[in-house]
Order: sequence, then structure tokens, then C-alpha cells
Amino acid sequence: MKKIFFLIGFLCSIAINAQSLGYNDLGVLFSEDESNGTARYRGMSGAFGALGGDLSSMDINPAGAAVFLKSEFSFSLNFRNQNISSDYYNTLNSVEEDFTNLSQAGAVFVFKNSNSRWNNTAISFNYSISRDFDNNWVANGNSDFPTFIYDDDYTDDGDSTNDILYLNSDDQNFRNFTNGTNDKFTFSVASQYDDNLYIGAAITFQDISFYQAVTLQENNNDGNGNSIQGNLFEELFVVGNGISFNLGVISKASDNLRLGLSYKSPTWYEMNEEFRDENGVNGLDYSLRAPSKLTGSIAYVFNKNGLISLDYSTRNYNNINIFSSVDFSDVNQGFSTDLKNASELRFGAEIRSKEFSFRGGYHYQKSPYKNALSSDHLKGYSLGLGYNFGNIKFDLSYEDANRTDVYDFYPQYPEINPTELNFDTSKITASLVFNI
Amino acid sequence: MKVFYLSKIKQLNFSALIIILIGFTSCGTYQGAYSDDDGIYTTRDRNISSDTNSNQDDNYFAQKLEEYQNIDNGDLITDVDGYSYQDQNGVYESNDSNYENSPWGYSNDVTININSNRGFGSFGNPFWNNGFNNWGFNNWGFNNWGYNSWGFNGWGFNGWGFNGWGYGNRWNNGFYGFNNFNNGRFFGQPFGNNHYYRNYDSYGKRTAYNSRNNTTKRRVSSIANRRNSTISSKTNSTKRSTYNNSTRTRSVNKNTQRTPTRRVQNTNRTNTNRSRTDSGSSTRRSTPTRTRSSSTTTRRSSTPRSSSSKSRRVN
Repeated sequence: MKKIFFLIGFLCSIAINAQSLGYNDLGVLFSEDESNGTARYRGMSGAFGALGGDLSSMDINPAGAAVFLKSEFSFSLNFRNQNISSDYYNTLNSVEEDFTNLSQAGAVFVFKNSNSRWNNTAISFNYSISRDFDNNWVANGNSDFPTFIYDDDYTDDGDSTNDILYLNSDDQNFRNFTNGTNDKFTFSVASQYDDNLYIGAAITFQDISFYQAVTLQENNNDGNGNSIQGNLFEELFVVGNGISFNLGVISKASDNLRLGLSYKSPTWYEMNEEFRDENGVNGLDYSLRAPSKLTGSIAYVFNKNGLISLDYSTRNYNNINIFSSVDFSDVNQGFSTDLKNASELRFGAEIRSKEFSFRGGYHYQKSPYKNALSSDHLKGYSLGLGYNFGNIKFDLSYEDANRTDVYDFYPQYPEINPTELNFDTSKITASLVFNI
Repeated sequence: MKVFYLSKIKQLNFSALIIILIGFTSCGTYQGAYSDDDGIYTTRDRNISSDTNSNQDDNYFAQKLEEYQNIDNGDLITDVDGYSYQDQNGVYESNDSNYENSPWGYSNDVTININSNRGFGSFGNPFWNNGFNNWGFNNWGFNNWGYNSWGFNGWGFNGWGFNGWGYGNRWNNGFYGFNNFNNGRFFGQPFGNNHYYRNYDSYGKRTAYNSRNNTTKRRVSSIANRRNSTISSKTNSTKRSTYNNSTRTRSVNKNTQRTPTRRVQNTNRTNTNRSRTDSGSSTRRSTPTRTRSSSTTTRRSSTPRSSSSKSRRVN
């Protein structure tokens, strides 16, 4: 009996663990694109690969810069309502928060050259938030599986008979707080060749700041009125910057039919992380390669009355890779075994009536995890409205998206289920476009 | 309260930019009527515009030229050659040799310091060594302008935005209720200002787990589906039921399966790559993390928390 108690005590002193995100999760998090942008772009769920003519469309296909007829500036403000509900052993929790961001700002300058067959050249700069990490969720419940069960103060006296074991689980509370953004700066140049061909190239700089704080609290009792509480807190701070390039082409197959094709190279990031727990501060520098992306697009324009547009993108998340002076082969193995090629579908439509434009769209993005449930794939729709004042245009969009996820805050214990998460995101984007 | 301070600053900048741009736009030509300048719907027709407008332009300039040619000397409004004045001081000399300081940009001794400490070529990725150090990242893009000097370290992130001003406050105020949770033990510590310059206690890969790597864990179903299903079908399908013995034996079984993996790996403690930590400011070592409130009081009932759904809105 004594022996067993001592064994328990020894193991429990290092047992309790809340977990910040692992490297595989971070690799996916920093690779995925949430696609913020102008309100016109968002109102059509981002289906702009074959259309161009919008500052955010250069994030997909840089050839779209040459579609502009005039130079312009645009700015977008984004209001996000985020509802994250968790389910941990049938205890439901939900946290709702609002966030406001300057989600897009950019300019395009158009140079007309009627003497050359390259008759319309445009350079553009666009800033947008590739991903907003601001989120907060809580989970609590009772797994009925205590892990912090032994108060090892009682071992100091060398007498095990008065030791207390806390074998009854009261509850576990977990909080996850994340903050930061993945910012994207895209410089692109594009030109129109004759009337029906647009070719463009872009270079994109990305800037990551990510912060995560997790707390785990576990309450157990011994059945005789004694209770024990274990607390654990971890912080993770990751900063990094990355670069990628982008090539694209748009063709006017006929007066009304547009075809687009674009390739986005892998993004090479340099990351630095600081991790803080009871052992102090741990630092690490590493390089992260996010996978490339291929997008094919088709759009049909109904003369001046409206259009429909479709984008299909594919990205192989197996190709995420981490290089460091430290051995990351297990992590890289995880990327190739747990992830897959994930596709994305965007559909958008616009109807125009004089100064007014009415828009709608649908968006479907597959989860890169092989063991993803069907609910883990992001599904969202969008609505939009635009008004053209002449030199100023005002656009408004609303979108709603939903996906589920899973988070395991007892990763070492196969006996304990992870918590199920449901992300419900509503966004309103307002944009002003200024002709110059 | 909900909106972040950082966001408020962004909103301020945003409104200022809008005002500036409205100013820019109003300086341009006024276009009262709606015109279709959308490149998606409208194609530029180069031939028509050059044919119709160029004739007018030619006529206009020809006419003006004719007017100017008809002006004779007596009609000149301002004769520059006829202007002169006596300088009272008389010391002004237009001698270029007095100007020892060349205009900015013409001098030979302008030195541009390139900060490439956190270089992109240091990790053996061939991409960085071929050209991006010279142009893209270090000289121009990231270090001097974007990342280190202006954006992140000097102004945006550490000095002003994130740590010094935005972040620390929120934690210390218990904005998200973490203080109550932890008795202020962790969050109360100043987290921000010297974040970038403190020395690490260790360097290397942290022990980290991923949400989905543990193949022994099966997700029961999605939340949406689970809400519709009955409770009994959910709970009994998990592994917990195999541990339905007496409490004490259950723990023993559990512990034999447990692998004590929880150690931060200190093996790679070489601080070679971190050239940025130049200040020897406080090497903070956090206190042991586990706060244990062991008491003999019966403040906690042993019944599990009710499993009814609970939603609240965090303000």
C-alpha cells in the first residue's frame, strides 16, 4: 500500500498539464488564410480570381491589378462577432466577443500606355489581415478522471499513512486566450496585353504576432471533505515574418467569359517563440514553410448587369515544414501523416442597377486535418451592397461562417476526451474606395 | 470595454486617413454623375477616345500658339531682364564653393546602416541566400523599415503597441478574469516591456502536444450533432467506462499507464542564434506554477458540477 502511494505521489508531482498549441497546430494556424479584404470582395465571398479590379483580388491573382481603369485607394473596417462554444463532457460553454479591425488598406496606380501592346500597366500595394488570432474560449466539465490527486507535502515527513489521496474529480476548468494577427503586405505589378490577356506578379510580406495564454484548473476531493486544487498556466508568444511570391494570369476568353489561373509560392517564415511555464522562459528560433496554393477561376459577366464568379483553390498541407537547429523531424513527420491536400471553393455573384450593386456568395474551405469531421470544414455565406457616388464608392458586406474544431488540454491522458469547439463567426466589412 | 485599445488606435488612424483621402479626392475633378469606371464591366476603348479628343486638343494648342506668336515685345507683362534691385548688405555672393554641405543625397559619405541581425540567411534555407538578403528583406523591406525599426520593435509592437501599452494593462486589470482564476499570481507580473530582451532560461523545442495527433482519442462527434443526440449515448461510448471500478484501483491503473514526459528540454541550451538579446536586464524566473490550495475545509461538495448548458457573454 505504501509503495503504491509513493508511486502516485511521484508521478503526480509532474502530472498536471495544460497545453499550449503544438508545433503542428501552429504550422496549420500560420498557414491558413482567413481572407479578409474589401467589402466588395467579402460580399462575393472572395471569388475574384478571374475578375480582378479589386484591391483584395490581388491576394488571389495579381493579374487583377491590370483590370483597373483608374487609380484608387481603398480602406476597409471590419467588425467581427465571434461566438465560440465548447463542449467538454456535455457541459456547454459559450463566449461571445466583438472585435474591430482595420482589415484592409491599399492603393493601385494605373499607367496607360497606348503606344505599346502592353497598354495598361498597374502597380498596387495592399495591406490586409490574413488571419486575426483574437479569440477567447472557456471549457469546463467533469471528466471523472482526476490527474492531480496527491498532495506531495505529505511525503516530506516520511510517513505515508497520513497521506491524502484526492481520487474524486470535482471539475476541470480550462481557458484559452489568443491574440495577435497575421498581417499581409502585397506588392503587385500587372499589365494588360492587347485586349484580352492580363498578366501579373506579386510579392507578399507577412508579419505574425501570436500570443496564447492557457490556464487549467482542476478540483478534486478525497471523499472525506478535503479538496485540492491544481492550477497551471502557460504562455506562448510567437513572432515571425515571411515572404512569398505570386504569379497570375487572366484571360478574356470571350466578351463575357473570364478565366483566371494563379500560383502562390510557399511562404517562408522566420519565427521566434517564447514559452513560459513553471520552468521559466524557453526560447526558440525556427523557420516555417507554409504550403503553396494553386487557384483556378472562372467568371461570366452579363454585359453591364451583373456577373457570377467561381474560384477553386488547392493547397497541400503535407508540405508544411519546420527547419531549426533543433531536431524537428517528428513534427515534420506529423505534418505529412496528419495533414492532407485541402481545397477551397468560393462562389460569388453581383447584380448592378445604376449606382447600386447587390452581392452574394458562398464559401467552403476544407479542414487540412485528415481526421477532420465534416463539420470541421468552414462553410459560410455572404451578402453585400455597394453604392457608387462617382469618385467615391461605398461598400458594405455581411458574412457568416461556421466550423468546428477540437482542443485537447489533457494530451498525455488517452482516458480524457478533448473538448469540442464550435466557431461561429459573423463579420461586417465596410469599405470606402477613392478614385484618384 | 470589449474593444481593444489597439483597435481604437486603428480606428483613429482610419478616420484620419479617410479625412485625408476625402481631401485628396475633392482636389480632383468633380464628377457629378455616376459613370461606369469599373474595369470588370467596362473595357477601355483606346481608338475612340484618341480620335475624338485629339482633334480638339490640336485645335486648342494651335490656337494658343497662334496667339503667343502675335505678341510683340511691347506687350510683355513682365520683363525679367529689366528687374534689378540693390542689396543693402551687399554681401551676397552666389558662389557655389561656399556651400560645403551638399544637399542630402548627393554627398558621398552618406552611410546607411543595415541591420541584418535577425537575418534570413541564417538557417540554411537556400532561398534566403539567393538575393533576398540584398534587396527584399534586410536592406529595404523588413529590417530597416518594416520590421525592426519602424513596425514591430521600435514603434508598433514592443515600444508602443503591444506590450508596453496594450497588453500589460489588460492582464493587470484582470480584463479577462484571469486574475480571479489564478489569484493574480501569474498575470500580475509585468509581462511586457523587456519581453524581447530578457534572457531565456532555456532554449530549444518546448514539449508540445497537438490537438489531433493522439490517435488513441476519438472525437465522439461534432457539437452540432451531439446536441441532438441523447446523453446516454455520448457518455457511454468513451473509454471512461472501463475505469468504473473502485476509485482507488482506478487511480493505480491510471498511473501505471502514465508516462512522465513533462520536462522542458534543456539540452539545446546554446544561445547561439539569439544575437538580439543584448541587454542584460532582469533574467526573470517565474515562480513554480502550481498553486495548491489544500485545506481541510469542506467548502467544495463532491458532487460534480451540473451539466446543464451555460452561456455567458464576456464583456
